[in-house]
Amino acid sequence: MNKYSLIVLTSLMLTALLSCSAQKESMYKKSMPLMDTIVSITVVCESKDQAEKAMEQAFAAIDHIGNLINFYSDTSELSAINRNAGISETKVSPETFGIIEEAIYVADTSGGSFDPTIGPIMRLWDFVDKKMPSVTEVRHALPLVNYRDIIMDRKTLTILLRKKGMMLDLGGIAKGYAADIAVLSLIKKGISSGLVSIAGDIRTFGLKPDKSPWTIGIKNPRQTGDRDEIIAKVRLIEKAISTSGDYERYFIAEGKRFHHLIDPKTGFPAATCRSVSVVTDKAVYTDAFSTAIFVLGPEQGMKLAKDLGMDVLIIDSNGTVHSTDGLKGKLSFEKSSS
Amino acid sequence: MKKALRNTTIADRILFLFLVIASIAGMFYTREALSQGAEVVIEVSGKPVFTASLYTDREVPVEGLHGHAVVEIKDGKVRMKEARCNNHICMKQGWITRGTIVCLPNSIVVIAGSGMKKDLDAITG
Repeated sequence: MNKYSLIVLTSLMLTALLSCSAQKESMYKKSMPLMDTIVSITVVCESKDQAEKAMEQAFAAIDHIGNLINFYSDTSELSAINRNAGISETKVSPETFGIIEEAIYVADTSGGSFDPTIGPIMRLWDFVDKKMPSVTEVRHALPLVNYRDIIMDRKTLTILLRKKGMMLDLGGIAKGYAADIAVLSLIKKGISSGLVSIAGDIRTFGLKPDKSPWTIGIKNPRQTGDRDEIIAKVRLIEKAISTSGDYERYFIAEGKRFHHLIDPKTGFPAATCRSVSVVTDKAVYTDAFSTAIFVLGPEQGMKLAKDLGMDVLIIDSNGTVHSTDGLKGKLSFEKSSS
Repeated sequence: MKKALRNTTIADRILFLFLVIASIAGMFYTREALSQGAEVVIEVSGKPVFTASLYTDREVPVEGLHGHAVVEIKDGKVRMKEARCNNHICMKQGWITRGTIVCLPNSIVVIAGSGMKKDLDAITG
């Protein structure tokens, strides 16, 4: 080997040293209890200080949304709307107006399988103390469930619920909406890659430091232990994902499972799916449409997803898996478990 | 090769050796910003206040926003043994080996293990 070859070899090794050394960007993760659940934010950043400041702002944005639409808080804008149902319109913030607009869009698009006016029905169910309503109680509450009775005025930012006793419940859409808001907040603070997860409603943007996609685990709806069992993994680039499942809040009575994904048309739990995971651009839509598609069932739900250009993974009540073609190459299944 | 070596000084050879070692070492060096492991982390208002192994039995007193709580670690599991809150949902959750227990009124979060496998960035569902 001559001297020139030695110099070239040394230069190559020097290049290898620089490229294999510790990456400048790192991932920083923080979790906080907000919106009655755990919120986790992961950001990719060169500076720990910048990462922490950005995450702090994003948590504050999520907390703000949570306070506006808290169903259980007397001081929330949501509670004000519900108190004034059938009486007068309520002026709200642009954020609350925005969530309700999105909820109506999902309700309309899904033929009412998702309905933000489901409040009077949800109040009858208690999944912690295992209480269910009678058929009579449900029958009395059902006439109050109709998203078409939400009157909105864009100019004055006011909301009126047409009938007394109507109640908005934004639990099926607010977390996704907040995740999108958090991502916008992070981007404003100079973060170009990250992930926001609010109780499993997840929005990703950018790539990880090694330029790979974000990998999200989908829970096995019939896991047997208390460890998270994953049935599948999906790789996401600039996408959101949410899952609605019959195992999240439920109780068993007389051998039957009663869960929180209530069909707005019957007032009782939808029965044809175990879990539905939706993948699309925004978490507000993955959140709400995962509920809508769960209620619609595998056939109509799959059709809706395809019509809207969304991807979906449905595990039906028999445990059979259905998925859209768009997930091919992005989805991998773990060892099966019943 | 012998000719090239004859033309180099001792300083050249030391530098060359250093570069070889450093470039190989650089391939194995990784810096992890996220921690993993069978541990219990207790946070109050988002700030870690206690970290310990999941395999050392103990009771940990914690001061939450509204009062006193007790987290118990035993036989590789953890639970909220006592908490001053209205519904005691955190206590009703019972023992966990992995995941989180949250006492929202007290803003206490108990995290067991890392909550997820190393190759996952988040879990949905």
